[in-house]
Amino acid sequence: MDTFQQKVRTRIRVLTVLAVGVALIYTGFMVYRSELPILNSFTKGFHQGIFFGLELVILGFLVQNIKGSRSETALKKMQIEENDERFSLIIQKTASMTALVMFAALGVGTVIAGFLSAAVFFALLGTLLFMVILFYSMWIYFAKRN
Amino acid sequence: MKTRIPELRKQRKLSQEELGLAVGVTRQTITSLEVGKYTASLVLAYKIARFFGLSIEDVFDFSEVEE
Repeated sequence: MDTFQQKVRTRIRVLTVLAVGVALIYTGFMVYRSELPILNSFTKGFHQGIFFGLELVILGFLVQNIKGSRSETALKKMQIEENDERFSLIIQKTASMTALVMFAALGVGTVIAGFLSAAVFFALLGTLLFMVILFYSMWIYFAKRN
Repeated sequence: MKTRIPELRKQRKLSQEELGLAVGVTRQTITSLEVGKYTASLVLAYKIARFFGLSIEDVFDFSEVEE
């Protein structure tokens, strides 16, 4: 339990730094807005959404970890929820199925894009190659670890 | 896989939550084990069996497991 408590404390520190960091980056962008290239409203909205979304996710995790670290019972419950073997299996199956569907969709998308636009075709092909390299790198890494 | 977990739990007047807490899994995992939707890992099977003071074979029925 002490190891997990330590892990939660470290996590709280890291999340706090991240939350402050993201807020500072966004503030920096707002302050030096005039020096940045002029963007259309959709792109601007997308950037704002990414920043606020990220900040909300970080704050959500932070609150969850702070709540969990307040009492021994909450900490134990959080440890069980995080290390539950069925939950880990569900996550693994979800991730592998998602990866499989993404590979298939990207493959089909790349073939279709080849008939329509060279720029989209190369963008999708690059993404597909990156994913394949990442997939096999992870495969080798986990095969050596287990 | 069939288990004797519901029977053993009721004998000891334990809730799924309490058993889960004792062996380090969530209530949902205990539910899935009891209805046979999920097969426990060796470590979890050992923890559950040890919790009830029995052997793994006494808690879990391996007769339907394919060779």
